[in-house]
Amino acid sequence: MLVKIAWRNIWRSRARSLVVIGSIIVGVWALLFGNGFMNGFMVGYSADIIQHDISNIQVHNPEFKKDYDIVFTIPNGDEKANEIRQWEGVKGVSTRSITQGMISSPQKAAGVQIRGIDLENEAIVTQLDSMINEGTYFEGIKRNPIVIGSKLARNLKVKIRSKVVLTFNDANGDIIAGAFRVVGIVKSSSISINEMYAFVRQEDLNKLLAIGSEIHEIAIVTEEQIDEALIVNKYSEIYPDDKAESWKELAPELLFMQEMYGSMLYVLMAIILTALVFGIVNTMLMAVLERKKELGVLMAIGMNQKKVYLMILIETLFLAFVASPIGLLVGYLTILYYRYVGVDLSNYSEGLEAFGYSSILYPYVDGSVYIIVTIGVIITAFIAALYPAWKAVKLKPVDAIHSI
Amino acid sequence: MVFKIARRNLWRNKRRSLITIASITFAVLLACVMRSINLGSYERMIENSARFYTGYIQIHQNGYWDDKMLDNSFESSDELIAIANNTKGVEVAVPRVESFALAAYGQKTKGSFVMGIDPLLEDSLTRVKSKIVAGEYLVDDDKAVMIAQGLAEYLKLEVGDSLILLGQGYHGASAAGIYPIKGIMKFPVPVQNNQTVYMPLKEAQWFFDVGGRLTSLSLVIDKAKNVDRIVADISSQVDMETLEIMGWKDLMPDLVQGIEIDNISGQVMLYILYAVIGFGMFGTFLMMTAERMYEFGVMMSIGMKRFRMQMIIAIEMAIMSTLGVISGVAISLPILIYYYNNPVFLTGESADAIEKFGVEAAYFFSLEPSLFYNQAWAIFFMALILGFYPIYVIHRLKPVKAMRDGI
Repeated sequence: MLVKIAWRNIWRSRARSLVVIGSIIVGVWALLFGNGFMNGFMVGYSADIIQHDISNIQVHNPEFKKDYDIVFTIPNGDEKANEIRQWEGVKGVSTRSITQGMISSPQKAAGVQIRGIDLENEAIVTQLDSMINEGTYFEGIKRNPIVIGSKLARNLKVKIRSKVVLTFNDANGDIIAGAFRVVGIVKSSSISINEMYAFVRQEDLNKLLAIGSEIHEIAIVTEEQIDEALIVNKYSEIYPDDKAESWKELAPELLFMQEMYGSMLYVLMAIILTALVFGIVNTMLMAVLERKKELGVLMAIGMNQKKVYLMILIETLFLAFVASPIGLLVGYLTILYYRYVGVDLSNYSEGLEAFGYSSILYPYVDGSVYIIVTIGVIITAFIAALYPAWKAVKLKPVDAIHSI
Repeated sequence: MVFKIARRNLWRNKRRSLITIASITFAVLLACVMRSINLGSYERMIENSARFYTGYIQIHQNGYWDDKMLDNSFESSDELIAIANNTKGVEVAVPRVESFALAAYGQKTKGSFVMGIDPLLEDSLTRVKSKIVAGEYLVDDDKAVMIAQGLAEYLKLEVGDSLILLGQGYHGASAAGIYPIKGIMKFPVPVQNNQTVYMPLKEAQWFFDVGGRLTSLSLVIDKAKNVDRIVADISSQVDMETLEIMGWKDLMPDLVQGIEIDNISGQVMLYILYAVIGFGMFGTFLMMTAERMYEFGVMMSIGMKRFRMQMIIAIEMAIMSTLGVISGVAISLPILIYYYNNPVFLTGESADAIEKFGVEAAYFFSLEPSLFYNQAWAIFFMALILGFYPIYVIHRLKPVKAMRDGI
């Protein structure tokens, strides 16, 4: 009975109901889109670093990462890499020999990580070849070619074909210096690639390191939508002596950024929800007070306070139930649309790409967010209705009927 | 006359006016809080980097910043330091000699970043003393070094062991030395933790063979907003041919850019909030209009001109918007002042993940005056634009129908 009255009340005053429905729709949409946008911001950033630098998964000798001691290689690394390459869900696999050392030009010296790469597979895994800004990808220089980042090149004041000297320890612990010639300069949004890495051919580095054809790192790129944990677990089961890690363990700073964003997202969502509460409270309050006379009559003919209270609450909930699905749909469609075309932010900041963000964002919303938002909004609407309903109950029937 | 009616209309139905004003007040409040929390986090980032790392202002040899090598160091003089120290707003001037060297111990070597510091002054800038986890802090005349924990672990060094440093000094002189480890420091930032070596300034000047030269003089100042003035003050007193004086914005373009980028997301979220509060405000206005249809109809049928009535409503809207915006700022001020002084700290797993990086996991608030000003204007204009709705309704109003449907 009460439900029926409430339902009818909603449609009796269409304009008023539509305003509340409208503000809930906007609220739901805002929560979804805001969430999707912030996610796109964050995921876009991580995606670049994962794609070009750290890859989805890396495998090392468990001892290696402790101090990058080159004696800790992955046993039979090349065979393992070949095997993983056949696995389902794996897009590319590349091997690297790695050592820490110093790179020096006639003017300057800097600490670098020297990466001996497998040219063909590195191009598949990190698309290093696509980041070449000047020079070539290991073409044109026969003996000891080296590719370095643009910032490192600027620091060292070197150009294409300049000579640089790499100094590091070999497997016997002797300090080795090798002369290399710059064949290419890469430019990337990643600070590591621009400044901290020097790429050389694996065979060149291994000869200097005196480690034969051993390698220190296997980098694996997985297909999209594949959970890295599956591959990590599979590898760990087959080769329990090696240490396979996903990007989450490899780059805790990305997780840190996500946490920072996440914590900010909570606040922003809370503020939007509060705004929604006030919108609904205000409108419902006006709606109740506008209906003074009507409510007065209802009370005068015997509807008790509890029922009036419930009636207003039910009305608001109805409005929320009608509005939420529409809001979800609009939000979903907006996100779907922008997932397809992307949000172009290039007008806002020129430096976006230079800083490791791509200037086109693809909003992304986790499925569970839709449910959380719906529940959140319905609770919000309920809370927002409490005060107006209480106001309605406080009306004195006689005064209410007398008022215009 | 028009003004008087408008004012009386507002007073006549206080409840309605108050609800409308409240909707504007909350809009301003929420927009201010959102912006304050955004800007607050940026201010904190700047504060953290400038106060604890680079200093707000640095003086170097002209060209050093583009090309950080010892050859671009400058001859420090008491006169220069006196100029810096005597400039209003400068608290202390911190000298440094910085360069790369290879650090070695036993079988291991690693590229490291050697900083020659004045132990007392450096501590006043970066609080480096508090970073010590083993051993002791340097004093002026020590012929010893402190190294970062990550580097110490890599080299398998402990306090008391000897570190070999090998690098390139001033004008290509070779720099080599062996130093006992006096202390081990732990830095939250991984890069810093994996490669930093500190040695007393005098020893670094000897090691790199730079004589009395410095690579940089960092200034600690009282307020971040005074940077430009202090830079200008000092620039006017020194030879700008040989020296460059840079504020934090030039010193940390990455940070400035990072903030700009983050600010894009902040702006988008702000617009989303505007959409929500705009709709809330519009709802209130719409209800107000619907409620007054009867009144409008009566006024018009007793001969009030449409335009006059629109004027009255416009004035009502302007008064309510003004009151709403003023009370919005008045309410947000004390709230934000409280949270500015008492940041909200986070707890739990995500807080741990954040604190691992040496960043305080907390919401910081800003009290930047422009924030209140901007939000107040934005909401004020939004209210005025939405206020066109009742004016439009009057424009279309048919008195008889309005009076009939009005009740």
